[in-house]
Amino acid sequence: MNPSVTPHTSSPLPPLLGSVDTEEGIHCESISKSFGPEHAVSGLSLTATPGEITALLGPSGCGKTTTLRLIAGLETPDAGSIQIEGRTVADDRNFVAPEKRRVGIVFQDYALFPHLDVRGNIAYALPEDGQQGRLDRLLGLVGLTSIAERMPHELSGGQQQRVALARALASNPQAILLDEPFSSLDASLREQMRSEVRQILKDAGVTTVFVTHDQEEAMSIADRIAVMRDGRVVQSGPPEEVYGSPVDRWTAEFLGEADVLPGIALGEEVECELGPINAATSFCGPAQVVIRPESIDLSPLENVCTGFKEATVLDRTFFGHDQLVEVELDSGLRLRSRRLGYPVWNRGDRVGVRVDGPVTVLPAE
Amino acid sequence: MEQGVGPAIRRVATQASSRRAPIGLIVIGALLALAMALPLVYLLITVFQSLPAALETIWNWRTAELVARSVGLTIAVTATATLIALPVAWLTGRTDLPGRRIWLVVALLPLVVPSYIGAYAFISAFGPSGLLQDILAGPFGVERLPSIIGFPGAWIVLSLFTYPLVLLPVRTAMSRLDPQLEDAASVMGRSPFRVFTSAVLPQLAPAIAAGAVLVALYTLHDFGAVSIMRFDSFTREIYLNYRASFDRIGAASLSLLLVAIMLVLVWVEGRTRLKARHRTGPGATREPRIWKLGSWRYLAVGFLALLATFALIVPVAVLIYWATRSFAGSIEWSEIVTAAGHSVLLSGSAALIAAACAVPIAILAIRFPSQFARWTDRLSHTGYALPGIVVALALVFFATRAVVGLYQTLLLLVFAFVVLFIPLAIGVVRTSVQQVSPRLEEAARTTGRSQFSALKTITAPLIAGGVISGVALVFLSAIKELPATLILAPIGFETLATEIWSATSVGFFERGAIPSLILLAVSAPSLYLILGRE
Repeated sequence: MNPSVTPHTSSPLPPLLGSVDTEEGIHCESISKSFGPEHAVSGLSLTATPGEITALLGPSGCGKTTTLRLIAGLETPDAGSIQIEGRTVADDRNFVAPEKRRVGIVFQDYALFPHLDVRGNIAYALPEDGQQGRLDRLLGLVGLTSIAERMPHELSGGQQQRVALARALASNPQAILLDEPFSSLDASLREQMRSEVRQILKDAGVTTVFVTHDQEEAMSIADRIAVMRDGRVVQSGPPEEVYGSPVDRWTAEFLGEADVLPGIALGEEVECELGPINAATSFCGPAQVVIRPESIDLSPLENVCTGFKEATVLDRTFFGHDQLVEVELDSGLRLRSRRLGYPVWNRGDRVGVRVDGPVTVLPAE
Repeated sequence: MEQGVGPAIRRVATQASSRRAPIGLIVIGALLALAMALPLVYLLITVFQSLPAALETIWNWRTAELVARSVGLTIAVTATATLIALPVAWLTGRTDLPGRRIWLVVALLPLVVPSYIGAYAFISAFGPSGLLQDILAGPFGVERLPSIIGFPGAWIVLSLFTYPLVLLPVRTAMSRLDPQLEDAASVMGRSPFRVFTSAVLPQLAPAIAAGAVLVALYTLHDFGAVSIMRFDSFTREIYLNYRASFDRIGAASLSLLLVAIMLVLVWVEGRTRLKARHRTGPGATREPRIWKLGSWRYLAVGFLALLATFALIVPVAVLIYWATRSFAGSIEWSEIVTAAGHSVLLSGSAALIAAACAVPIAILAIRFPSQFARWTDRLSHTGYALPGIVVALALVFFATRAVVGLYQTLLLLVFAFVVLFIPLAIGVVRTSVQQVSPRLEEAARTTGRSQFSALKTITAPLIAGGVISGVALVFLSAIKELPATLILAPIGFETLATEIWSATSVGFFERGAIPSLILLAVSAPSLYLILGRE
């Protein structure tokens, strides 16, 4: 190993990114892209706030990877405009080539150059040669200093991902794009890499857009989530807001388990089969009540006082840290309840059911 | 919350980039495609300029007989080669035959024997006043052997040296079969034979068909074996026609007719390739079931030994015999060395040029799929459907009428070689380009490199191995080429192939032996390359 290479733990970052000071971020305005008859992206608008991590969350085939490639300049939009840090990189008249966009990208399979070692992969992206100090800092940042001479095929999945991230950061980009960055890691490594990658990106303070179909991943890493469906962003906001106040039933169910009941919204309350419940949103009229399993409270029938409905346990799935209990109300309505791992609920147990806290109420469709 | 994968996203994943190819690449691709199509285009021009005469040549009984003879030989050779290849594939792939891997290599080796060397060995051993007759004449007083001149000789020689073309794809397909299907069939109570015919054979059908088409194409292409065996098939007739008269239209129209027949075969081949399917079931690849041969193995070994005797041992032994005889006389070493040098020079430059030209064509086809790229690719493959003699004739017409200075130059001959062998190079280079994920180039570009710089720093080093094996493959195939060299070589420019040809055609068997042995020694490594690709 080159003796001059030492991890720079003291001041890892300042000169890495020259352009964090701008207030612009990434703006996509009504962009569309078709492949032949297939509309991959249709009229999508998206804003990624500077220095924040924005998750582009949607089911497979909703056009999120295409959106990422449009931002990177790897695809040309059919319509709409894209701005990165205040500069229009694509609209009706202009198209800035990917190499001139100053955007770093981490692909799903990382796309490490197989003929270059770790150092070579990262050095490839450095704007000029001879930036030994910067290279060493990047290696230190992603914790790869000790394996800088390895070839990509000698690395584990997590290490490959770190190289890809370091390479993306090396070109001093104004934004980092990550395409399903954790999907090719196995479950145990994924959790660890999520927080590690988030830490690196936050330290670097770089505007980040990452694509995922995993709502848990999106909520645990992102500062903002943009939910995509059929080539459009249907809702965006902080994770808590998107999860807690979904704009429609599809979004509610996509972001997590939910049981949806019909009801009548009466301002602050909603009337449904479970009785009157506090509503998180206030309006009047026919409504859909979105009930998350964690807001269904179960208690043994003997302890029950008013406000509880009687039900029978139909099934229970145990996950260790918690359990999902499916109950059937005497009226025939089925609900799911997520409780801690204890107490144990068994099939056939009679229980009292109550809704805990305000619920999301949507207009009936 | 995984929903069905939409077609749009799949498109993104498999396709390179929807953006257009750089203009430079398009121009280079178009020029190369036009150059590669030149012989075919010029042949068409020649024929259409004197259409009545051409139709007269095509539309008569002599030509009908010629078609019948060629097609007859093609069918006979294809059937025989397939019948030889199938048991060899099964014995070396699915039985406990002793030393089956060695037998497989031995059975594939005849692939590297050029047909004219095979024919030369056979005619000098079994032909009139050949070795066998010499041996038998003394003690037994045998005056005449059944003649192998004509159809029997061409049929036997071509079958013996083409069956590996069926063996190779069938063996590959066999190793990709899901052994569980066979297990399933046996569990259902089928006998081993029924299992083979009902569960295995149908799955091998596309591979067998693909191999058979290759044999048929080879047979129609072949000039050396049919000429030495004096069987009047298309290529020989075209050659004689060209040599006998200054009337080019006869040779040209016969060439075009042959090309038409071959195009039908190429089309059939394309269809069989579409139908080819591989294992569908999930799960790890497991070792296929191995049949116990029991005492049948003596018969099996006997069969393979007999095959090796005729396809390998006899030709090599005969060549060695003639070589030792020639040592008794005077060997013109300087002539052989010069010829070998010419062969290397010619094949080497053709190989370098073909591999270099294959790169832009392959990159266009893989990275920027479009109607234009498909046509570039297709036109660059004309050499695949054109026999060497046809390419050579078309270029003679071109050089004597359009660009007179080119006639009788080495340049024209090298060009003919490039047209003939570039499909091999494109095949190898394509595979290596395919293995380089377009994500790599995209990653390179987002770091600030231009498209050209990304190609140069990322793609080029990664496909270098493929380009080098393309050079080797073209070199090893080109060095055996005979008919185009015969027609286009400048006067006095002899190669190993033409040395063998001229020695054989006048019956000086000793003189052809050493060049033949050199060629065999040089060609043998090509088997390694071919096996490496499978």
